[in-house]
Order: sequence, then structure tokens, then C-alpha cells
Amino acid sequence: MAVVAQLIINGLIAGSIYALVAAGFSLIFSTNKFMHFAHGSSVVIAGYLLFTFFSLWHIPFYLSCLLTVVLTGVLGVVLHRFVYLPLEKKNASTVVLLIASIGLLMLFQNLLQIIFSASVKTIGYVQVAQGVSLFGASITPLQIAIILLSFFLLILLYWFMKYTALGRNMRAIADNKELAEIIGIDHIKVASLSFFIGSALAGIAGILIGLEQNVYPTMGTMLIVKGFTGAVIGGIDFVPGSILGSYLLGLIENIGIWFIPSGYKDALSFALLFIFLLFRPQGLFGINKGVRK
Amino acid sequence: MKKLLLMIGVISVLFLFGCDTANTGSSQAAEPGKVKIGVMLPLTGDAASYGTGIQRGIELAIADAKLTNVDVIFEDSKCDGKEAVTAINKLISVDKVVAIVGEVCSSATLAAAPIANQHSVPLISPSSTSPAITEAGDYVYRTVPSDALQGDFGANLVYGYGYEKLAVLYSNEDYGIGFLGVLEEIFPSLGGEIVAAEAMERGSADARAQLTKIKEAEPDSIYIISNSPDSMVASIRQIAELGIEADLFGSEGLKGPEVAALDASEGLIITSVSSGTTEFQTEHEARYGEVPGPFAAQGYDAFKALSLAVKQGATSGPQIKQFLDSMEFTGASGKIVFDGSGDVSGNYDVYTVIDNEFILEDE
Repeated sequence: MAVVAQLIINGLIAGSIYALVAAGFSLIFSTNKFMHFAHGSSVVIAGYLLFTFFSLWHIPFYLSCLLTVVLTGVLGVVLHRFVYLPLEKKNASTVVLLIASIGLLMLFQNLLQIIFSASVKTIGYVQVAQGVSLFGASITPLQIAIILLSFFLLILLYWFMKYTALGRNMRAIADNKELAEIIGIDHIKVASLSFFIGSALAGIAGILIGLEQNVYPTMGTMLIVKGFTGAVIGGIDFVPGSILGSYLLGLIENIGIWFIPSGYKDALSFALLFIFLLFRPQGLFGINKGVRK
Repeated sequence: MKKLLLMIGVISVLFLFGCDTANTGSSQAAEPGKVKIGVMLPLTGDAASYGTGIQRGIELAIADAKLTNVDVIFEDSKCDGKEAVTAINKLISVDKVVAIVGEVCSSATLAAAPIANQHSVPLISPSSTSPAITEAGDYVYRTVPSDALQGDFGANLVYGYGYEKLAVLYSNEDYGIGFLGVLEEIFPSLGGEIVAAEAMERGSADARAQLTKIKEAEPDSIYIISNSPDSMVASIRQIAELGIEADLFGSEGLKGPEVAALDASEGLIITSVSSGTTEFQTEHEARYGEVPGPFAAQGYDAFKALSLAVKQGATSGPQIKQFLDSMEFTGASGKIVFDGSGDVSGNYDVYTVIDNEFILEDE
């Protein structure tokens, strides 16, 4: 029984980490309709910001976290205003924007390596120790916090998208940009705000993942690949859907490799991605507008 | 539209998954009339900490060789088969190098080996330890002993300490698979049992599922085979978090500052190739202010072997090969003699992590 509990908990931990990445990615996608893969860099940069503030400059932990989240949000806005928006104004296609976002991902990865070197950095706020026992499975307090926070974000984002004016505007743009503009929604402003919120979410993700997995320059690629897969499974333009999809991905990966050799872990997630793209491209909870024939 | 977007996204993800970063190979302009030697190492990506450490060893060798007729061209091959093929093709076809030091990772060296053989350009790896490299061709050499030796040494070490139920967590690439193969052959022959062998993707920071399987097999010892700092730091941490009560052993890839800094590494025992003679270590510290990284001494020796051949007048690949096959010298990592398949023999040191430091064990 302990094994089943441990596998489920492993799946929830992995799923929460993917969900933290997927939430911001999906929020930005839903209003902007292009894949901001550099979102992975935002997460890593947040990890390094926390490392700099807390471990190098010894700023109190919670203040470091606050600074990290705000600065990562600002970084998102800067990327939107100075990279994506100029491209959009030149009528660049979504493919061009996507290539730009991959370019940014690589640029940041290499910049981080130049600044901080390629080695793994440990933030060291949480001591490594054996986790507490839960139904015979082991889980650390940090991992419990990660799972709870992801659940909390799921509810908060659902509420935000459904009941706040900004959330409604975002959904309006997601649904039909031209119509939303006609009724007076400033789509650039909403897009910038979505970049701020989405990237601030990456900030929260970066802090938690940095504490859990340490930080190293190449981690952004790994994270965005899994976050993207989770988002597709859940429904890429529906934020709570992508969070749930990420949980599903984490659980399937971790429970699946109990039965198959562990070398196939990533193969399993990509197989899942393709099954969804073939049979349910809008994802489990995505909005099917019924326009695809 | 959305479907198209999704498909583009998927293609991009696969692209990202396949190659971490774009080719950022840097090259220095080489003057005509000189002998050119190429170096290909992972200078970016998750193995960059090895690449930059080895690069320092090579730079010391360049400084010591005092050759005026040699140009050295560095390429970033990212510890990746595809990148290594691109890098070696560029070095041979565009830069016209006559010999190459590289790659760090076994998979990358094995991918580049056929091209080195085809063009008769000697390729000397400072750190690829896969047993498969022994058979990789006439022009492939290395200054680090094969894992056929390290696996044998490691298996005997674990069994010698009295452990009988060994679990292996290995990196899913030529290096890990080759090392595992040796352990699986030797450890049972000594009387022990390999109770679990789980693979981990290079660079992945989540080994919980694999470790849960290992925990269920109830091993008394775990051998970690990895040369990805991200993965090994994460897996050592997760072993502690999951409360697995087994003692830890590791391959030489684990001998890095990141691993030692981890409190959960206390008591970890690793086998390691020589980290260099006292003179080499002193010279390295004087120049860089740090102790040599893993394989820096082997990097020094790889370049030294080539520089000795050039000093004796070799100017082409086949000529250098001739000198390599008959040379014998004492380098930074000890005595270097290449056997018929380009391998060196070697002894291993045993280190234990005590108070966040690797302490050399006296035999």
C-alpha cells in the first residue's frame, strides 16, 4: 500500500511542478494566442533571482520572494513590449513569434550560464531531510506546500478568469479579439497585464522549483516542455484546465513507470501528448468552439 | 488555426527536447602554414561544468608545450551526438585540423568517432569512459581508463565493504548503460545481487519514481552512475527525502563541488580517476585559483600527447597516429601509454564525502 501512496504522491509533486509552469504559460497563451516558450526562462530566472537575493545578498527570505515575483512579472512585460509587440506590429505571424520565444529561451539559458556558470546552485533555505510519513509514503513539508499552492492557484485563477473585470476582458480577447476591440477593450494593455500576471506566476513557480530542485541554467527547457505537454492535455487556452492536465501528466508518468522500464518516462509523456493531439486537440477541459470541421 | 498552432508548438517542443541550445561554436582564426589542433568540448549545456574544467587543463598544456607552429581551435559540442558530429565536421572540413581533443561524453565521442576514422584524424577523449570506445576505431584514443576497469573496480569495492544487494541508478546514455553492463557482469560473479537497475534521463531533476522502485527492492547499497550535475544533485537529495536506507556509491562523474556541498552526500563513496599529480594541481591552483575539476588532468594529457607528436615533426593525422601508438610519457594524470585500441590502463582513487569534502581514502 505504501508504494501506491508513494507513487501517487510522486505524481502529485511532479504534476504540481508542471502545473506551476503550465498555469502562466496557458494564461499568456489564452490572451495572446502564441506560444511563449521563453516562459521557461522566466521560471529559471526567478530561481536565480531568489538565489541572488537570498543566498548571495542575504536579503530576508520573504522579501527576496516578493522581489523575485515582482521582477519576473516586470520581465514578462518587458519581453512583451520590446520583443513581441514590435513583431506583432510588423504583422509577424504566430510562427515568427514562436521562433522569437525559442530564441529568447536559448539566449537566457546562455546568459545565465555566463553570469552564474553551468554548475548547480542550491538556495539552501530548506534543509534536505527525510520527509514526513503520509499513508506510508514520504513527503517533505516543502512538497506539501508546492501541492497546496498549486491547488490554491488553480482555484484563484479560475475565480480570477470568471469573476474579475480583467479576467472577463482576457476571456473576451481569447474568444474573439476583433469583437473585444470593437467593444472598447484595449488588447495591448490586457496583453501586457496577462504577461505580467503570467510571468509573476512563473516567479512563484521559480521560487518553489528552485527550492525543490535547485537551479541550473538548462532547467527552463525541461520545465517548459513538460508544462506545455500538461497544458495541451488539459486544454491550452483554459488555465484551470492546463493545471489539471499537468497533474494528470505527473500522475501518469510516475505511476506508468512502475509498470514499464524507467527509461521510457519521457516517451510516455510524449505518447500522451500525441494521443491528445490526434483525438482531442482542444484538451480535456479546453474550449471547443466548434469551428473545426 | 488553433490546430496549426498546436502542431507548430509540438514541433518546437520536440526540437527543444532534441537540442538544448543552438550551435554557438566559437572558432579562432587560424593562420596558414601552421598545424591546427581542434578541441571539442561541452562549453554550454548541462555538461558545461566538465567542459570548462577540461578546457583549463588543455590551456595549461598549451601554455606548457610552448609550440609556435600550432593553432588550437575550440568548438562547443554540448555533450551531444548531433552537435559533436557538426563540430567534428566543421573542424576537419573547414578548419582542416590534423588532430582533435574531445569529446567529454561517451555518446558524443562515439558519434564523432566514425568521422575521425574516415578522415584519418586522431580523436583523443579526456573523459569518455564507455567500454564501447575501445572498439570505436583506429583513430580513437583516450587518456581516461575504460569503465570496463572502473566497473570492475567499483563492483569489487562495493562487495568488499560487505554489501550484497546493490541497486543501480544510471544515466540513460552510453556512459551509464556501459558502466551498468560491467556492474551487472562482475557484481553477481562475486556473489552479490543487483536488485534493481533504473534509468534516469540526462538532465532530469526528478528521480522519485525510479527511487520508489529502488526502495521497494530493498537494496543495502545504491550505485549512482551519472555525469549530469543537475541529475545527481537531485537524486541524492531525493534518496534522503524518500528515506531510503542504503549506502551510496558513485562513479567519477559525481566528484564535483555540487555533490560535496550537499549534506545528504555525507558518507557517499566514489571511485575516481586521478585528479592529477601534485605539480599539476599546484600549477592549476596558481593559474586559476581553484583545484582542478574532474578530468582536467586527462585533458592536459590529451593535448600533451598531441603536442609531443607535433614536436617530433608530425604534421598530418596518420603521422600523429604513428607517434601516439608508440609514445610513452608521464603526464598530469600519471603514466600514459596507449594500448592497441587506444586505451590507457589506470588506477582508481576512492573518495568518501566527509563534512562536505571529498576525502581521499588510503588503501
